[in-house]
Amino acid sequence: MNIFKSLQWRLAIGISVALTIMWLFATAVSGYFLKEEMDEILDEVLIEYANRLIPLAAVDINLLSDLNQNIFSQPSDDDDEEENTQLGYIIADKDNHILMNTSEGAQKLPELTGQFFMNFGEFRIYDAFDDKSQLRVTIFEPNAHRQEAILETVGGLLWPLILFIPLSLFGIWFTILRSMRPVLNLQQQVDNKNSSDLDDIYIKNLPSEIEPVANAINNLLKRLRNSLELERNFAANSAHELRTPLAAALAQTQRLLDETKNQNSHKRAQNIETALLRLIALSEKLLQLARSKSIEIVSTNHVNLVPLLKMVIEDFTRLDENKNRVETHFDAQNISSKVDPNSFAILARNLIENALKHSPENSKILIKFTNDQQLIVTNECEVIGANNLSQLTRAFERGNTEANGTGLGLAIVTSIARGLNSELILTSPLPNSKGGFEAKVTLNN
Amino acid sequence: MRVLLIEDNQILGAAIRDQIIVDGHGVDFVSRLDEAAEYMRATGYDLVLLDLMLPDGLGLNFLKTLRSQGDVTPVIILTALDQISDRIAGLDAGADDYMVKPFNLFELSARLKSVSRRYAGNPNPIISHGELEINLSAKSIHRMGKNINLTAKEWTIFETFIQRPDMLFSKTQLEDSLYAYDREIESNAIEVHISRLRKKLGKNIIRTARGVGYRLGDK
Repeated sequence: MNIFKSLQWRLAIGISVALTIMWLFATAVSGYFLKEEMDEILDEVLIEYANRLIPLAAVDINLLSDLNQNIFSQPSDDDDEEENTQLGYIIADKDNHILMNTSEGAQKLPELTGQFFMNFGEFRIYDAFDDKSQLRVTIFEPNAHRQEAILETVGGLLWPLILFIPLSLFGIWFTILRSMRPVLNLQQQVDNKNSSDLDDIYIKNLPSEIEPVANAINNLLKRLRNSLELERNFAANSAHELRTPLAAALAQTQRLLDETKNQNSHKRAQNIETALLRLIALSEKLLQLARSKSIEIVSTNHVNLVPLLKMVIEDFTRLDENKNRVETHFDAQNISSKVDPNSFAILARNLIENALKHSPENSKILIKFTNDQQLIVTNECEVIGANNLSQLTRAFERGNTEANGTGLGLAIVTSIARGLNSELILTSPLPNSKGGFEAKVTLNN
Repeated sequence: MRVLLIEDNQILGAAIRDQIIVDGHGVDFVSRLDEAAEYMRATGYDLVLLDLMLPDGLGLNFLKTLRSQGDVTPVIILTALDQISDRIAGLDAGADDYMVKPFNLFELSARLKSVSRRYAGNPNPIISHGELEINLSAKSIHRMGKNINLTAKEWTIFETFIQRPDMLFSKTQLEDSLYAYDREIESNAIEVHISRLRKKLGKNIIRTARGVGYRLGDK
């Protein structure tokens, strides 16, 4: 089975990919809302920071101004390293003269006018003017702060995916495998159906999604049973409806033959009898062929086939021309099999008839029935080539013979053998012989 | 031998009836089981030819009823049901033979004789009686290698005796055996035929039991 065509594989991969995408989407959405919330909180922190800074800055500026000292606060060298990681601020007067500055970053800031937030380069900026102190404060915070926090949080959400994907793949695979078990059981049941077993399939414990399929299969089996039953009835009724008028025609012709003294009329009646006998043989074989394809060849009970075989053989040996032609060898007097008795009788009759017809007059045929349920019929004849041998099982193939046959006998045997999951094996010449023909069917395959 | 033929196909039945008559037996031909039952109540038959699928029922049930009543009349089933299971069911129900349609009429004649002989206790078609060698199949009689010719009616009466050598036959029973030849049998016909048989086969071949009937003479 190609695993990539497997429904299990497709479902497992599909569901895993879908879950991963959904997880990533959920993480992205979470990251977005997290950023929004963090911005809101940290912006409030900036406002709070500015509000606290302005009074302190005003006091410092007034004090230094009174002392007539430079109020500029220059960033130290150490500040360089921390410049991008810490909050910084600029205090300016109303004319935008910078009075205090904690970072060189201030030089890079745009001209700010009024209270607002903005992103500028690597910074988040809050700018406010205090009317009371007439000072302007600008707080700036490196964006890296916030990005790091968000990335760490989102990263924390993504890490479980590494474990989650193989685990979910395995979990889905296992669940599907368990869920598919009733489906596999259903498939096995359907697979086991054949012409001998068309009973309903067992649908108890099937998943509710599969139950309609099983019901549909059972409906199909019911229709199949009905049509097979019709076919069987047709074959049986045809046999009766055909045989009686044919019997009447043959019997009347034979009476005519017996009563007619005129040679021409006698000859004509003989021709009619010959044609009728041919028609009878052909119709019988066609009905047997139809039956062999429609009847249940496997029986539910074991049947001793030896008496049946003897009965069939007796039908042939009763006739004067076959009286001393049949030799038999049965391994036992009770060889039982689960073969439908009627099918077995048709099979045996055709094998024996074939052997008697296609062997020299007065020659012997041998019928062997072994304990391992092999029915073997051998007869004398010229060697039949491998090509001709393989064609003999086809309907209306007669092989290289002058014998008056319908060409259906071995096709009927083949059809019955198939119904038994067996085959008709033909051999010619016989082992250690220059000629001969053997037909073998194993019944217990 | 008197035969009851139960067959619903008139064309087939007529041909079988004619064949049985040619073979020298008497035959009644009916196409329904109720008719057959009436005929069997009225007359004793030596053999019944029974179809299985009849308009008023299954021949198999008729046969089972017959056997359950202790009737041992030989029955040959003539049917279109050709399956081996049908044949087994027929033989199990008490049939003596089973022939599948279409069949050869001459094969039917042979089976009829065979069943009849089996019931007479002598399945061998060639039997001896004193100096006579009788071939029931060939309908021939030889004495010391010399063939003795009998007419069809003489043969029928003689065959009736030879098949049941110990049985005493009434005049009516012997008349029944000639039913195939004439529906109306003259009152002295049996005496005439027995007289001729005595002339051809020997005066002691048939013994008379006064006021009762006739039986085969000692060897």
